[in-house]
Amino acid sequence: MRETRIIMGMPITIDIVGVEDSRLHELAFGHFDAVDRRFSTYKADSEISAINGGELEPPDYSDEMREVLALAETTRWETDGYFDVRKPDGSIDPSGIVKGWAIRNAARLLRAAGAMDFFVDAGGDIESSGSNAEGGAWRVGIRHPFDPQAIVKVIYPRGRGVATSGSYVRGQHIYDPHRPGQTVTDIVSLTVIGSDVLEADRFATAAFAMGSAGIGFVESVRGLEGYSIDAAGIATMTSHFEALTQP
Amino acid sequence: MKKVLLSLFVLAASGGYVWSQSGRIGAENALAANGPGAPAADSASALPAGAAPQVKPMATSVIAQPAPAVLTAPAAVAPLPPQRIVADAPIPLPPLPIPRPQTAPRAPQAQILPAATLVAQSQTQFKDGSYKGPVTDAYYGNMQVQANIQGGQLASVKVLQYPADRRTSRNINSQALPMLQQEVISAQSASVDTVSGATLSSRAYIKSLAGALKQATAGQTNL
Repeated sequence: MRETRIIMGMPITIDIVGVEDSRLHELAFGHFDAVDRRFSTYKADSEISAINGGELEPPDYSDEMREVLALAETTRWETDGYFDVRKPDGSIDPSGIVKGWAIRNAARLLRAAGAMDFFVDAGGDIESSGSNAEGGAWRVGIRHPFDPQAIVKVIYPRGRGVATSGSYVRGQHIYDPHRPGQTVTDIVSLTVIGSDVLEADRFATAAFAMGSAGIGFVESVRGLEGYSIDAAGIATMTSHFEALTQP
Repeated sequence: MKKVLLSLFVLAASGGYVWSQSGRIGAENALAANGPGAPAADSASALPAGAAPQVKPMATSVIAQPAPAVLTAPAAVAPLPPQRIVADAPIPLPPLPIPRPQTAPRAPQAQILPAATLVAQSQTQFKDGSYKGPVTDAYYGNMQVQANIQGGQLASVKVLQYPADRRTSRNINSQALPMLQQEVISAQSASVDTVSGATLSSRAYIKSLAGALKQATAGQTNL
């Protein structure tokens, strides 16, 4: 059964094969709701708002907050500072890592609850498990950056996570932390496939901020593959990406 | 300052449910604030490729910035191993002269998204069918979505239109990544289970979706 809800400002779709009631969906959607309540910078009563408002000190952070901030710090180091949840005004916006983390955890919840064949898609970042309804490998399209109805590639992640960063939807929205005030425009879409969706998402965000060098960075990190599309419609892929396009 | 920040958050929360990177939304705001004709994101195309080659080589850069207390205090982060390099595939990571366009400045981080509330609260009571939302102006182009309702629930959201910021007069980065394979993208219509793409949560997107769901509540399909 497939169900979509709007949580965290984006459509989240959960498809579980062979399930006719929504008990498992409720479990996973409930997880996203809880993440939203804790990490939304748009909610005045969220924990992240309390931190940014100076009302909460580090010793009082929740375990979830500590985990996410530690992941963010890890990613900042791994990506030479291209991934950074700290904003120029001194506040923290962890949304760049929370999404991948939340999807991965939702997938873990589903597996722990006995689901075998499913995918979780939150705003175009995907973790899948097992097989689709036809018994085949889950098929994930990479959206065409200039045509919302079309895809440019089909990949078979086989349990890996898939995440895409892009500039085509909102205009330019990813900033280069090494160049305050500058945005990235030379590539329009970068899809990363990693061991899970958290890996894919955090590296996709960072590598996109590197511009055309980002795909080279993806190539350099073991376990990641990527597909980058520039403004002229030229794609660059990592050396083992094509294997993921084979059914 | 903290009070100002807090009030910004209160303001944002009262009107908006949308949770997203405020920088991303902020960028949209900045575009909108500049008004039509302002040289915001599109000014990039005016710059010659290779301008402002102030990019340090990734391999030799030093990570030395101390993190603020708020980040280092929780759960001590173990020192990281150096970047793992794939041994059997020498990686082309030359210091690239990446063109860095001039763009709009960062916008304020808080904003109100009233349309989102309707979307967020609407889990049920829809009539089955497909409903097109209104075409909404995302400043840099139009946005339109279609909500598909099955069993009274939102089953999927299909994007019918979104801004396609396409620039063709650009040199391909032929010298940048000589070892990685390149291809010209082409639209495919292959059957897939789901699609990976940049997150759709702009104000225009939410507005169009809210319009589609409003029709779904009334059951007035316009297809």
